[in-house]
Amino acid sequence: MRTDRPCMVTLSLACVLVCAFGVQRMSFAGAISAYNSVDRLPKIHPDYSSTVVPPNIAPLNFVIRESGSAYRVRIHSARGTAIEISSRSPKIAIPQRPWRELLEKNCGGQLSFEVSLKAAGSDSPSRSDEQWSRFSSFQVEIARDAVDGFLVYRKIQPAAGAWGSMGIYQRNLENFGESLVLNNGYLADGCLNCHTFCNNHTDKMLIGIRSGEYGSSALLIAGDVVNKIGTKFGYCSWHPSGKVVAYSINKVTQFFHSSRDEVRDVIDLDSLLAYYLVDSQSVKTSPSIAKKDRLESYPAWSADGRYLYFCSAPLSWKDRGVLPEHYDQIKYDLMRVSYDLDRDQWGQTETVLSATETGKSILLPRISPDGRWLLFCMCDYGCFPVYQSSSDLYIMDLAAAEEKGSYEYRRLAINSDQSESWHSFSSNGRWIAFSSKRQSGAFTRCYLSYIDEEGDTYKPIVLPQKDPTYYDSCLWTYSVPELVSEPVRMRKEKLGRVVRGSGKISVDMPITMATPRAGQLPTHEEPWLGGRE
Amino acid sequence: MQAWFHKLRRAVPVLRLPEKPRRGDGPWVIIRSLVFFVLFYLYLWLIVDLRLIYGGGGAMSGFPVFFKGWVFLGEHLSYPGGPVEYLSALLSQLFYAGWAGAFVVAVQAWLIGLCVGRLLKAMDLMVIYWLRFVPAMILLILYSQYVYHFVTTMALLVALVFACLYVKLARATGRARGLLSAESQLTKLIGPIAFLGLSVVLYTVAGGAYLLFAVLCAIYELFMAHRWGTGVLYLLVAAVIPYVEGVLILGASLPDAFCRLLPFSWRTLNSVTRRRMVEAVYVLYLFLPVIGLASGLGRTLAKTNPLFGMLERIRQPLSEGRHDRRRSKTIRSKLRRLATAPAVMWAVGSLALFGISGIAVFFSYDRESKALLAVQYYACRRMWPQVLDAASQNPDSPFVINAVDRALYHTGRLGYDMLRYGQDLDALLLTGEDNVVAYWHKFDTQIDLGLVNTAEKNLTECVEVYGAQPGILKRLAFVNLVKGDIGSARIFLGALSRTLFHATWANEWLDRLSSDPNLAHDDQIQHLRSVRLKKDNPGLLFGKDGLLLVLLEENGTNRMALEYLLAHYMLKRQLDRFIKSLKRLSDFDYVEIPTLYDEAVAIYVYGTRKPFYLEGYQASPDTIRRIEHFSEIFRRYSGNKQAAFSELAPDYGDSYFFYHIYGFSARKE
Repeated sequence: MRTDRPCMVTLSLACVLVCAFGVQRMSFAGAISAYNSVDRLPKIHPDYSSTVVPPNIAPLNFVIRESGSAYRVRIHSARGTAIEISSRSPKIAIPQRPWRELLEKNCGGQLSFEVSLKAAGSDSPSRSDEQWSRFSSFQVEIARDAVDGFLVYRKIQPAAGAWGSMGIYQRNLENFGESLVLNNGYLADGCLNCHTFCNNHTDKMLIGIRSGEYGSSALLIAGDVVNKIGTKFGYCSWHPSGKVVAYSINKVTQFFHSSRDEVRDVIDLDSLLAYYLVDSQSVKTSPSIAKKDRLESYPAWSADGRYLYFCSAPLSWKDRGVLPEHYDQIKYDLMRVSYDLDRDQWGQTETVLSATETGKSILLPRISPDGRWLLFCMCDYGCFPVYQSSSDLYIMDLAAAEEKGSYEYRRLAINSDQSESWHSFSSNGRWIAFSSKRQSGAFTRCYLSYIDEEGDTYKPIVLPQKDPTYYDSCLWTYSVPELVSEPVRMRKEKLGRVVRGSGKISVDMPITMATPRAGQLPTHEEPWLGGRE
Repeated sequence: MQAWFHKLRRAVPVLRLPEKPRRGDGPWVIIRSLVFFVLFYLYLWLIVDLRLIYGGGGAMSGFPVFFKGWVFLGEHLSYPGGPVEYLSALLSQLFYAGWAGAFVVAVQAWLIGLCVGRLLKAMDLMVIYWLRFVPAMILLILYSQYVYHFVTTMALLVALVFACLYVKLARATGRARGLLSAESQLTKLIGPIAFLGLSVVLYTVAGGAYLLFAVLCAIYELFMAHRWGTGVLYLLVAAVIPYVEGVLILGASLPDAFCRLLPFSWRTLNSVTRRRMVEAVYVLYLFLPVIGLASGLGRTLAKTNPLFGMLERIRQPLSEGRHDRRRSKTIRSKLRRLATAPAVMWAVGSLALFGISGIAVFFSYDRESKALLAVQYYACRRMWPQVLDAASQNPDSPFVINAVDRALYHTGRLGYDMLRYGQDLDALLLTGEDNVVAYWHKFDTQIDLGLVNTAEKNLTECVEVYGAQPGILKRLAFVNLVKGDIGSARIFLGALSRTLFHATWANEWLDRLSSDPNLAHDDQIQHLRSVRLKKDNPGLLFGKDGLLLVLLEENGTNRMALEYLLAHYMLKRQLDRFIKSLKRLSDFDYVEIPTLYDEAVAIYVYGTRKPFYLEGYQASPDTIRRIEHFSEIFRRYSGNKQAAFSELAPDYGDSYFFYHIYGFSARKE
């Protein structure tokens, strides 16, 4: 009996505390009978007002950047129960289940957010109602089309030359769950890059590996099987059949600006395209995609697999080992070349859009799953849009181009004055994920934007986080966001074991490339040359 | 053999045990321990000064960062060993205040010693009970060498605490067995169940350090408790737990699952700075298992081999010795009794303890590393007199020279005293090939000069190499404020506001940004914006004088750029360029021409027979007298530099006359 006494006391205390908290909470959550109207939108962060959001997105928690001693938010729509949140903190955490129900019931509709606050310093319970202020409500559109459930991205530090901490992570977009796919701790440091999926599915996937200890390789994941291909893949693109992977080989050099806002910059001193045949486990290239006098990069297959789009710039300087003086004049054209999968034959290369025409460097082509839209970056010069604040997203209607015989493009409305890059389509083609530095010049974040049937995009949302102030102190850079319909299920230790293991698919480069000799792949193992966002 | 063995036992009192098994340490032993650890603490606080290790100053990587909040904690709870890393990161922040850091390390050393003592007792090795001080001595050596292995030693401590817990449980179980007339199945299982429970918890908390716990428990079971099956089972469990819990449940990589937080981990061995003195940490980890194993095997073999039996009897209590003493009433026996008297043994033990520790400290104390870290510490805080003071202990390091030049500039003495210190052309801006990755030491000089982008590049690389250390985050916030990238500055300030000791600074800046978003009223920011390099040319960053010239061309009031340019030309002995640039002196408010510049002008005028004109400039009579005297001595030796050295060095060793002839300064001690 004596021993039970402390437990009883503790339990009683806990009950009293819970009751007290409940009473306080209830009185606080009571309806506001009178308030002052504030004829403007509240300052909230992240700014979700007037955005279009997926019906399966995680709660859009936000922080109210208005001074107050208490806050109330009411989220409601045409159907379903309104969500009412009372908080003494300006951080508004939206409960997940009611949020999901509200979104499901109002697909294609609109959510209204009413924000009220009690003036700072007015804690008197008797006069509390009189001191509440309500801001004009803001709306959020709920799209009919869901976004793929998962986003896979790389988290890296702003400088990655020494191969510090970096990893590929996947985020469940329907909640806040984030899990690691693979980080460089599994390969005793090194670099992980350019995770690539086939048709937005994770059963076929590639991850590029560079490691001082285990060499450069590419991890090829096919179902439950992981293989290490014993050569370095640069930027990759899966043929929609899953039988071919086109990839670039880049001789990358990083250099630094003495005064420009973005310190770092990158140039490919040499590059070409090659392709890997999954069934025969062999690597090939073709003069069409590996010209001696051109720098080819960023391959992207058309949705039907009949064309390979890529970027190409003239190789106009002689000393390949050093940064050319006119580095800021190197601009990439957008090209395409036909490909016959059955006969493994390449056709003639044609220019889709030339840098001469646009005055800008055209990079990172990505084609929507329905084959209609070509999304790409354009920046002032060079091959690496993340380091160019001038980089913006553009779109081209390929279907219209087929009809008209000319390629027309337009700048998307979602661009900012900072760099936009690393875009990808969702499997239904209605959402794009991209990296942007709009919050700051040093850190990229992932954004999601709705894209309608006409190729118009809508105000994007930053990847929502449970703590709405998360990005305010987050020192990670988020890059290469890829939307996938299911999570990567391969265990990270299995991936790590394959990297660390000696078994690999050996591939030989069969024909002469742009600059390297036949049978010899270029190797660029210096870490300080290799780190890129 | 038997006789020799008895002689040995009589001659070496330390090989004997007291007559009665001790229940605990006597008051004098406790006092000795107390004095030892108080001295340990004072040494770390006042002599080693752990503030210098905080942040590492670019000389060490691996010093952990710590952020407040659930996110940081959550990250550390997701992998084996994370909780110890979290705790270590938290405690390491106390190095920020030297006294607090020293206290943490002293407590850690004391606890490790306590656990080692308990385990030695448990292994029935009271004869070497004094070995409990060995870990503290090793820690003294480590900190005297200015290496940071705190996380690994914290994991060691946690593993030892768990091992002590296990032994206590196992003994209690043993006593329970003794009380019961017949062993029940339940009591037999208590040990293994406790081991399994402790294993699961410890592995989560301390990662690979769990293996030490498992090995110690197995040794205890095998050789002390003589439960062979249980011991072997524990070793098997030790091999399984990291795989099941680490790899399969927590998703760690195989090397990390078994080695994380062990000194053998690739995370330690892959880094040049982290593997410094790692051998000492190996000793910390291995010495208890090795002793336990050796002792256990010795006892086992003693049962079969007479030689081992004799050695085994070394451990036996002194009661047998007393039997000998009773037989003899000779002086020798009295002396022997005196030698084994507790007070004498205490005194001898104390002398040995403090003597060995003193010798260890004397030989391991690394003055050069301390000087380097101290110079960096003070330079980061702009404590210029302290920089110059600390520099004397390690004057030849290019990092020290770099900081000294910066200190001299900021105290207005670069043109006067530069050659009182060792100089090196590449040290001025740390531009040499050897300094390609000397990120940490470069960025402050670069910020002061206006090379904001270069500083930002080095700072971001520092984050990668050294982690998001508060000192780096502060500067990153600062350079972004100078650049006007307020969004990035806010993120760095936001991260800083989650640190323990720099949140106030960060919040003050965030408040200032709220009231003055462009910092238009901040003089320092405005000054740096005015001197900031504006020409964008990637090739510029690798230049030396070219870079300084561009800075001056863009902003003729960049005084530091001018003084560094002049210093550069002087060190390179390019007097024609020096003279050309010296004419910019009139753009500034120099009251007089600094001595070294005056000497350089004198050499130029004497050497070229060309006049030098500068508004308001007149050669100092003292300089003229000195150059004539210098020349006279030099001529006396017929221009033989080696022969003239000893006469010139005392009076002219810190003059530019001397440097210009010899290419180095005979700096004064």
